[in-house]
Amino acid sequence: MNADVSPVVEIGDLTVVYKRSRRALVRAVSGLNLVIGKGEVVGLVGPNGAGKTTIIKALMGFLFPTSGEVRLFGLKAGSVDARRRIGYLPEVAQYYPFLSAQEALGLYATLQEVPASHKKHMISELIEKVGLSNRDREPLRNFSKGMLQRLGIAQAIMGDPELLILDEITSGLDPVARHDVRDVLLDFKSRGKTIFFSSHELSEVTLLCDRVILLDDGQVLEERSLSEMLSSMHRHVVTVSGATVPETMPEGVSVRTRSGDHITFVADSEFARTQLIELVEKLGITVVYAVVESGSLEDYFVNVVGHKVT
Amino acid sequence: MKKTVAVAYVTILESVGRKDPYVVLILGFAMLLGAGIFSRFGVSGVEKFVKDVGLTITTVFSLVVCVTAAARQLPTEIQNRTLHPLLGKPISRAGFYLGKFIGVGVMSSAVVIVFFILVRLILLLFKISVGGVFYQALYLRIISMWFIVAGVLCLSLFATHGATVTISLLACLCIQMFAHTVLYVHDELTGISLRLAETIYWLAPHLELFDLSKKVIHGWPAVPAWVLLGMTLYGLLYAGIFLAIGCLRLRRMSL
Repeated sequence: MNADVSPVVEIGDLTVVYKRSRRALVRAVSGLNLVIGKGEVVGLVGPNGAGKTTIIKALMGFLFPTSGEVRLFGLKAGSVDARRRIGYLPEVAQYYPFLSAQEALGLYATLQEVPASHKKHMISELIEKVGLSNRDREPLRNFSKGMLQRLGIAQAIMGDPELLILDEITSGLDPVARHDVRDVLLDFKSRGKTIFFSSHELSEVTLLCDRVILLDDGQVLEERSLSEMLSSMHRHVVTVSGATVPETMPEGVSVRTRSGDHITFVADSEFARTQLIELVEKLGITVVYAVVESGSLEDYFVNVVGHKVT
Repeated sequence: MKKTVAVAYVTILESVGRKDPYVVLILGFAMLLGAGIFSRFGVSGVEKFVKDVGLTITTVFSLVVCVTAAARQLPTEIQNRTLHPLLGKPISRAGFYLGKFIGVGVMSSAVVIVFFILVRLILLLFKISVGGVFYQALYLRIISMWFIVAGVLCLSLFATHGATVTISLLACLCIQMFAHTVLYVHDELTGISLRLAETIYWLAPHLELFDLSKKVIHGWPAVPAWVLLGMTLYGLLYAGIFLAIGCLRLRRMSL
């Protein structure tokens, strides 16, 4: 982790309640506390309706917390000074369909206060970076969802912001585009920039994040470093040959499969594995192999949230 | 200011790309031409008729273009989520709102100017003369468009798109047609109805004051400059009030 002491994002006891109808209220986010340091890459993971977009909108100042405080760089979220240092990609990026990619980026460059002398060069560079060079003069109404997402990423990284806030980064992108976007973000990460993003794509989170926040029903279920999460999902697998299952097994050990005279056990800790190996050796059973299987973030997520991410 | 101008520019581009202003212009031109052809038959008083038709078409059609354009701006931005990438950049909501106001204001003014040019051409074509009051009517019509835009933009933050268009058109037409009625019935009213009528009269923006059509039709001389200045300040005052309410509303809105 590449965290600095100065927080880039500070969320204190954030609660957002929406009015669904005159009487029904929906608690989208409940008592969220979060601090993100400079240079950290933090991923927000959760099922649909977990509150990811609400948190991002609160960070951008698009909606006002029911209670709690949101600050970016020590400034009030949504303030012009804070937004000057942010690159933002909305969940469903929509752009003016009558503009071309060049014109749209020209508009965002003006809003981003890019000096006129740098504008043209910067726009060409961004267009090339996101792979829109051949279509940059076409009206955006002709663009596919993936192409619009590329444009969204170009406008988000415009001006080399200190903090990137990305809502569903790789939504609608094909594998090649995903790879390109990942490279762009890894470049940002390597230059010590801060990235906060939400994603359904757990592979993306695994590749980019230092820290992962698991969210469900507006509440943080887990907030740990990615390495901690993955190591807690490690499984110790021991396969033995020519044996029957011992009557009493050490705690934390279970039988995974039986195939012919091979039995495969799974131990949930190193201690349990050692106890298992000692037991089978005492019984004169041959250990064929013992390996450590690494867990995936998806396994972890399903385990914690209790249902699969859609 | 550059950022506000950029938003205004995109707003104008969006309006230029739409078909409705062109349809209205073509329709208006056809009607004007039709009215102008009457003068070929040597009917007495037809000059006034042509001017009347021309200026009424200008008023009604430019009002329709202005109201529909202003009413759709903010709801469409919010609904289509084109607002989010814009407001993700360092532009204040007030700056964005002002950009929308300037964009629709410029576009509406352009429509009014084009209509007046068409009317002038038709009048020239059929050798009907107009005095300086014609150009004063153009100026005041443009001023009125700006404060209508401010009012409609403001209303669009409180009502749905359809409701904004309907309320705005009805309000503009009613004010234009019936505002003076309060003066006629004033002496006959008493109690609450009198207070209500007075409140409406003093609060409602008097669009009818910006309409010099009758003076153009009947060939009146130009109005004094101080009247134009007063009307300009009156229009600016109302536009300022509407803009301030709209900005405050947008600042507090969850998007």
